[in-house]
Amino acid sequence: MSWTLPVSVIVSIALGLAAPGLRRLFGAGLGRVLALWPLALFVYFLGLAPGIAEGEVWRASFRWFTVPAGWLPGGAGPFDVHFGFALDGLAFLFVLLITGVGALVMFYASSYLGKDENHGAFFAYLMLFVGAMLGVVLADNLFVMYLFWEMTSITSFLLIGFWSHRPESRAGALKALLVTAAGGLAFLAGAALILVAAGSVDLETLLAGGEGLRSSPLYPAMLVLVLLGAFTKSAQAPFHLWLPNAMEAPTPVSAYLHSAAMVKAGIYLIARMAPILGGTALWVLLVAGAGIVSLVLGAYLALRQTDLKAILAFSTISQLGLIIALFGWGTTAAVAAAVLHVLNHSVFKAALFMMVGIVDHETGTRDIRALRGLGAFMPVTAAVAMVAALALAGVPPLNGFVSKEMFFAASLETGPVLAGVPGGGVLAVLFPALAVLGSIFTFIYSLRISHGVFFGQGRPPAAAGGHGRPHDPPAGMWLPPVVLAALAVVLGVAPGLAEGSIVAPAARGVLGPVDVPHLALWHGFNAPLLMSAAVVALGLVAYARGPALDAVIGRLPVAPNMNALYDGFLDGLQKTADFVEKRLMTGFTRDYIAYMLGFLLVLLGVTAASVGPFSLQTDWPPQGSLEWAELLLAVLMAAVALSVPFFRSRVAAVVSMGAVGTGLVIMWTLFRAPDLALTTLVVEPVTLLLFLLVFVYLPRLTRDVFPKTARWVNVALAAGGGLATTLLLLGVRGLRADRTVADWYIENSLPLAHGANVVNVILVDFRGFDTMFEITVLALAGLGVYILSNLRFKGGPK
Amino acid sequence: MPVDGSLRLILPEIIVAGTGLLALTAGLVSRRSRLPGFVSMLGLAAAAYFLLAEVAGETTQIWSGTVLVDGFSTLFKAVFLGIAALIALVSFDYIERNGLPAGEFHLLVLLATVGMMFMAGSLNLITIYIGLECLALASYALTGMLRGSAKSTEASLKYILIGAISSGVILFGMSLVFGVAGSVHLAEINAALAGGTPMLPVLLAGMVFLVAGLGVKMAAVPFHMWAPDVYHGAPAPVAAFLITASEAAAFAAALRIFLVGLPAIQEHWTTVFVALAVITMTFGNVTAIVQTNMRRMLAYSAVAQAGYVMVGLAVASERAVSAMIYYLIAYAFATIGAFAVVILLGRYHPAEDIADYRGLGRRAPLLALTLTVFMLSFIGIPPTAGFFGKFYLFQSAVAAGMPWLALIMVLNSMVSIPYYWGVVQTMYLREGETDAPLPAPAGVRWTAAIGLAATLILGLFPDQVVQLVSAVQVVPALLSGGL
Repeated sequence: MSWTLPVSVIVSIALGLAAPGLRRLFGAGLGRVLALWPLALFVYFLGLAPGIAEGEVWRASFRWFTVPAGWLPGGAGPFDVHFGFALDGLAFLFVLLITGVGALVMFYASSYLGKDENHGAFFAYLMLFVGAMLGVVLADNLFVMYLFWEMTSITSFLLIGFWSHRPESRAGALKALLVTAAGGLAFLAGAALILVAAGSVDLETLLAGGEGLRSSPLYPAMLVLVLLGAFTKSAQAPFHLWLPNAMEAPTPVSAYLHSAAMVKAGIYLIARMAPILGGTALWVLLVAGAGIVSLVLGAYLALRQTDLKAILAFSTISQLGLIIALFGWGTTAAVAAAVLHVLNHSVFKAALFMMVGIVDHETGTRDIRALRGLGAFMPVTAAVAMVAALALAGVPPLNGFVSKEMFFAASLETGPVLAGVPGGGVLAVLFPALAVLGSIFTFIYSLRISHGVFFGQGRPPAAAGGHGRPHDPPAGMWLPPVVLAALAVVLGVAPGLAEGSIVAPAARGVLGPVDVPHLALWHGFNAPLLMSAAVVALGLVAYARGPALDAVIGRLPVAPNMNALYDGFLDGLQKTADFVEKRLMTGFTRDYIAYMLGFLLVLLGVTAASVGPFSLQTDWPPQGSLEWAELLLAVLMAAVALSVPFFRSRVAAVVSMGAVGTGLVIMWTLFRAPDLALTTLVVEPVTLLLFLLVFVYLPRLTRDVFPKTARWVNVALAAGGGLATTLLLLGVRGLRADRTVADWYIENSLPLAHGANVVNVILVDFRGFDTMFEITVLALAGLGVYILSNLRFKGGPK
Repeated sequence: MPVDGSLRLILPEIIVAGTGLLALTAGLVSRRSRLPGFVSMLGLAAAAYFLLAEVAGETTQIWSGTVLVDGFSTLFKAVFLGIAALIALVSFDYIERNGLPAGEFHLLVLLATVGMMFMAGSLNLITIYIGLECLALASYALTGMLRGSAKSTEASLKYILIGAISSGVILFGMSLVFGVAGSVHLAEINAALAGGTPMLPVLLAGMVFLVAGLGVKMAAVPFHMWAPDVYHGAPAPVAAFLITASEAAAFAAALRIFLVGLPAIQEHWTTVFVALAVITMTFGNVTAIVQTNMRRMLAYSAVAQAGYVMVGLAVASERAVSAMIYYLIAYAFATIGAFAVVILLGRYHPAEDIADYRGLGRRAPLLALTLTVFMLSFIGIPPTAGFFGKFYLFQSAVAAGMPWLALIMVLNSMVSIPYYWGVVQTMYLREGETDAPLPAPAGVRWTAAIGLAATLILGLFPDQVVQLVSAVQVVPALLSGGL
């Protein structure tokens, strides 16, 4: 039991909730104080490295709730779901990123935010986000993971929309939330299918039962759903649409969420699921396919951008695509490269975002066309930019080079993986080719954001305020990116430093206990090196001929993108909703009732059709005798009823209905049901009277009040209703009650109720309550009539 | 009067009805509009005490099978009592502000509650029907209580007209079922139909009428027509009451009628409920998106939520029933809590537009956070009760071999994110016209707090309630042997 795991999550959340209050204590220094918490966590977790490297897994688990027996198909017994945390090699890597980069970003943000901005809210959201991210990567079952997963979506919404006075910020925040929360629900659906198929959501159990899951008939559905969750979170094509808009966030937020944290949650999910759901042809196609497409598409789209942050956003899509492609291939070398690149990408991308924040802060612009030659005024920032961008470009001796080499190597060795995949032969060639193409694009935009901005030819922009030249920011802002840039160099020169303690355990978290390839800057002359050389050579040429390249790209069509679909979807939803509401919810009770009766008839028809043909008692003349009087009366009643729709006056219509009622009274008498006849005889006039009392106040029936279409709808409904009733009556005509209640009352009146008059006994004893309620109802009805007759309506006739 | 002690078993109902009369009297004798509310809450507490101390755990039928006491009915009655108490709590301020007759208001709420208790507490079609009418008549009057408001009056009239039709339809359906099975007792109907019936078409017609009639009460599209207008036009506490308790009662009655009485034709009614569930949730979610009025949005959301619950009827397994009950409880707390905030905002912005929620995150941080939690619960995002509710329903559908129905649920939840989240966005990211804090009356504050606590507890520690609803059986144990 390691209580530090839940504590790290809970304290982060608690600090987040307390942040607005702490603001009063620490003022604008709040961020620096709060940064101490992730820093402390980072140091603490780093101390666990030796144990983790040995393969230790730290766990803390509490029984959360019990799923009772019978929730799963096959009648499985009750089972417990734990609120559990676990720290293994894979989680370890992400925990270090979250806490390490988190501390730096908070430190940086403290200087970045103006004094009068709402530090309390900002750091509250940020701390909550840290807690949520830790929860995602430490969760040891899918439920707990989903809980924190959605929490990251919500806190990232608040962070992206932090500058809420800007409409673009709000739109960006909403888009990020809609896409990722919808993806989250898909993930939940996938988790539920996994639960059904495997009988558990514990990752440990699932790891053991991966085989069964992969052969389950639900496998394709669960894989697609889980991947939907991961791809939306990691902004993979074609769900990358939200990330560029999310750049409306304050830059520290982007530096954290869109380099090391939020988008990495999707990667983490894929890495976690790789040993459980991975390795199949479908997995390779979907995961590697989406990854490589995102790599190329993201890098290509980055070339079309002129805004520094937009370039970085598309770069993130592209780099995450690279990592996901590696997990898609899933070979030992690929996974090792993937986890290493997770680390490397976080390091250099966070540094780049921080660099952009500084440039934006100092010059007031992020447009690379306006930013030239800044290196002379901002040497520290320029150094950070060059190191981080070259790491991104994959230039030795920086960390990006090491993982990119491994990526190229892995792309060349996909043969065995693709053996069972349709079109595998083509893909085996396509993958390395696309890898090189994407890397060339990456190389070009990396130079644009570093060399172009800091050393490009042109007039450097003025400082943000308009006075003098831009200059390096205070230490609070340059120190964090410098730390990261230094790390990029260290990890490049001596990748072995991270190998035993971080990368190998992380890879083993995905692959199981295997030997992870040795990390090194220099692998000798081989194919990957050749590919790298090609990337650098072609990239340099293309960069040097920037204007020509832009001209070519300018002529290419804009890549297909989901923004139109997103907008169209929201717009279409809005329009459909509008249409449906206008059409259905007209506000007229008449229409409401028409819809209801119409649907009732449809239900009757469909249900009747579903039982197939059934017999109707249509023999004529019917059994027993048919008196001429009865027939005549029936025809008369039908005729009167049919005449009702043709009256222009409501009173005439109601009087006709009264005539039908009177016919019914005669009918009851003919069938020897005098009590029924009497009741009807009493009720009919009262109803009529009520109608007449009310109708005086209603407008005359004109076309405006009662349009023709409504009339025809009514005719159709009446006909349908009549038909249904007729069929029903013909169906039940054969039905005879085989017993009567009368005998029971006659037998039991005396012994049970001590009364000889059966009718009296029924009224006051057996059905005593009925009698009482009937009296009550009559009294109420009388009251109603009295009140109605005394009402004076405004605007009614005098 | 029976002397066998059977009266004890409906003591809670008797207490509630008596409390109604007391509340009415209190309203007549006292000028202070709060007294009836306190009387009502005390009476409800007493009824709950007797229900839990005396009735809980019993499973027995009394009075020639017209009243049944079992775990199912006790749980539902407890839910109704709880909802009624919360409604009384939240409406103190509302009644005062709008000049509603406090005595009548509480009387009607309590009478409606009695009706609901009988709907859940009987296997006799006639008793169920009478309970339904008792509820319906009180609801019509409650809906029209805002006499000065045209919206309220119009809603009430629509409700009466459509409600009357639905009562007729239900009664017709019951008479057809009675005609075929020869009994109004659901267990006897079940036994009579067990061997099949030559009158299947008639029975199915009866079933369709029952579905349609109860569909009106459950607000199943397209029988929901009254619901948006009523939920929008009725006094806010009444709307909350109808959305939660009345709907739950309709589901309780439907569960009994279909699962106890008509399992012989289960394949037919589950098919109908599958269609209704899908149509209802989709319609509710899609139309909710365009609403700019908070009450109207919550009204359509209520329709959508009813669609989710209907999945339970479509699946019709023991587990699905448990999931439905869990969902109804979870939904009730979130809805009443959300309405508490609506009532508070209505004090200052009578239009109840979503735009009025701008800047609420600043004006009333705690209430805004509370409302956010309720919205999350409506969507089904943890750590809220709605998450588990949806998950269990989802799971029951998958376990019954209907994963596609579960997926439709998930798709619908995705569609619902924009409009629920729109409220949160408005509260936090839009600047309000004023930063003036919103003082909340105690009743509103407490209701919101109870709703929040329950939503979070059910979302974080669902164990107790899951065990509770899992133990519930629609078909009471005393009958299962004889069926």
